[in-house]
Amino acid sequence: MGVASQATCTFPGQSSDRGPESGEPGSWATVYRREQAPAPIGNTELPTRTRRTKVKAKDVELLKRRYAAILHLSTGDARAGAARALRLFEQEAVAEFGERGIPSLVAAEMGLIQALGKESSDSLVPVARLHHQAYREHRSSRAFLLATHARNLALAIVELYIEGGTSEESARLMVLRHQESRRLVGSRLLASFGGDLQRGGLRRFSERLFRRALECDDTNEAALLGLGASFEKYSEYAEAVSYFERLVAAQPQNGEGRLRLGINQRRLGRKAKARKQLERVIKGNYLRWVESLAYQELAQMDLEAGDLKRSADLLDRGLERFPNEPKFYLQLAYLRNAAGEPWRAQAELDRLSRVREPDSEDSPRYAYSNWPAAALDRAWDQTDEDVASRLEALAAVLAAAAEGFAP
Amino acid sequence: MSRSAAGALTLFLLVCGVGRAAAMEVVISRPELGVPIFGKVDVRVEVYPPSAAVDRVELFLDGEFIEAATGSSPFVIPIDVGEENRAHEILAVAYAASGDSVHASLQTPPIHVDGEFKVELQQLYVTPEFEDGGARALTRADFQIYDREVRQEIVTFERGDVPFTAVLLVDSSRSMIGGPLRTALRGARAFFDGMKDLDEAKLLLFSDRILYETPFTSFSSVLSLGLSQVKAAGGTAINDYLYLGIERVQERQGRRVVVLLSDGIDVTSVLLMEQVRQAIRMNQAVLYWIVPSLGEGGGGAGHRSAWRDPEEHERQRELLAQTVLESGGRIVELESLEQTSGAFETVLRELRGQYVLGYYPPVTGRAGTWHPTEVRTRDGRLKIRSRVGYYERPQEFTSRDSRQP
Repeated sequence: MGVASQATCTFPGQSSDRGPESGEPGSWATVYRREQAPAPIGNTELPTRTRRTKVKAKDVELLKRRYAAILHLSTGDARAGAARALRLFEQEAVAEFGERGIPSLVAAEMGLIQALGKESSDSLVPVARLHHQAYREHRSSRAFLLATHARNLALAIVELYIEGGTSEESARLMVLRHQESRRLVGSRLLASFGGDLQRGGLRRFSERLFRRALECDDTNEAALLGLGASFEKYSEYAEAVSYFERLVAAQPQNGEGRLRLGINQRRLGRKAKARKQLERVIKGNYLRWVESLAYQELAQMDLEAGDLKRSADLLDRGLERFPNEPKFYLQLAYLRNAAGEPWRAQAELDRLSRVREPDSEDSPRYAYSNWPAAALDRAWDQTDEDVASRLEALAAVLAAAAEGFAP
Repeated sequence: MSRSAAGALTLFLLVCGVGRAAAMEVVISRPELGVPIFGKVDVRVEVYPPSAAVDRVELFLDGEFIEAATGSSPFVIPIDVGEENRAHEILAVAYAASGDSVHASLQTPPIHVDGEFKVELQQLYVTPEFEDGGARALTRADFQIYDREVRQEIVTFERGDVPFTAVLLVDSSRSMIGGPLRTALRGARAFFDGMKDLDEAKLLLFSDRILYETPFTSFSSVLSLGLSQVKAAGGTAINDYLYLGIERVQERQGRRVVVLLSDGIDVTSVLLMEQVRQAIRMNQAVLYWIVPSLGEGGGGAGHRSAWRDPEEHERQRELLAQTVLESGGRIVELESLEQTSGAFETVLRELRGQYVLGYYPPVTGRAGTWHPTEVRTRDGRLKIRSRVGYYERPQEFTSRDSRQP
């Protein structure tokens, strides 16, 4: 180890994402090289315009040792501070080495990561998570160059993990059980990261991650919801429906998936199918916002159909279930006016005055307009478990690697 | 127009057929939802997409075939529903060239006739706009009122000192966090401070929920009580809370005003602007819209959400602007939020300069009948603003007894 190598740690299609960390060719990407890079996700070509920056071996060796210390920190009781330490370490490297900073970091970090992966692919899971957390840290401190670096490194590690660490280990572990486990864990890591990118506004990038997550696990909830919601927001409703249908088929109890499926089917004019899905939601026992929206949408469908009575009956039922839902009162007031009963409309609005919504919750329509947070939180929690169960493996290979460092 | 936009334009049934016809939609866009119909009525049927190859549209009234129309969308088919006060069902079936069909139906309600018939004085609020920006006193003789194209006698004539009741709706969504909300509320206070003793107002802060609502009062201290506790948060539901504001002010007597401060980009409403527009046509409040500048390419253009595509966002916003102007109100654009106080004062000044003309309208007895109104001036060069019309209210609504639940 200790070779002054330059590694390309980029990600396909990054130039199509606009934004400060979009990775446009000619900026951060120029310091990355293809050699010794882990396989990128998918087959998209890397940016072709690159510039070689000379990296010194002694710089890399120094950084590698510091990096190993941070990884070690992440395996112990003080691991909560490891992501912050990694952020500071990477910031200092860039400050210390100037234009050689990022390539030196790539060489040092990837060098160690590849060495760890050779010993134990499981050890890569906590490392990938650590760089994911570093990505968040860099983003929140608006260090977009380093955020991009952290993002690409984290994803490269996931790919390395999915592939089995090294080709030798792949051969050794070519056992279905292990492969399956790796793919599920890898899928969760990818979907979890995809969710972060989606919330950060990197649409194309996040969609690619979700797709890759689905290649590893075609029932990944966060990826299916994330992709569907992305297409929905960009008014590509047929595409959105296809992902929500897959989700509902895989997880019939997924209320949010069924709700979004129904709403998007309605937009496509598939009224009967939409009604069927929405009715199943209100018969289920789901989160308040999910069920409440199903009532609202069904009532609006009845109103459009001119069936004022059915619409009002439905809303009355909705109010029995969620008496503090203000939209029900507004819809009812509109219905009463449309039916020529303005005094009843006023009565509904008087009742609205007494409604106290829980301040702690987003309103249902606002929750819907946000990215699917609950599924992404679940994905994050699951990867927490994946990480926790692999910390020992990381500690062990780090101890072995430490012996190889020059004094 | 996208499918969602087509759906949003109407309140009526869209039922797709099967097979190839599933791509085609048919909409009955007239008569309007919830409006009773009598006598000769034009039924307007629209087929989407407009390029769809339509062989014919067949129209049925209360289950009986009326007419088949050929040509291209929109199809306007006259029918005679008679003078009986009853509900009707209109069914339109559009046949594609392939033979597949899609249909839409619309139910119209009867007028509720259990109330006391009473003709209420109709009031029009008229804002003159002098070319030189100044103000000159006008007299009753300077104005002529036309209701359903028939000149009406002006029975009351007053200047803008007539007390008003206002609802101030302030968008307090997430984009208003901190300074912007404080600045907006300073503007609202300027409005309250300029009110006269008999004027009343209600302050309603909204996002995708009601964050703060005061009672109607003429005491500005009550209107600003507890305001400092309000924190901007959440999405924006303009349509929903504009509707609420209109309905709230409807309960009040006299001159009614709704002032909205918002960028106009609605994300989380369950109601459509078409429904709000219907409410304001029915309730006769004057609507003012104070709109912060959105910069180049502003408006709803480019805004997208899980609920609406950019075209629909833009359309909803344009419809809001149209609704404001139809009500006889005004859009006050701000270059920066710092101008909010000035904008509220402008609205207040305009209310003081308004003329209030009263007349007894020609009542048809058919609730929901559209009454186009026009105010002309003796000096034809003088520009004036006033509402463009109103829906005749149901009879029982004018009756005290019938207001009881």
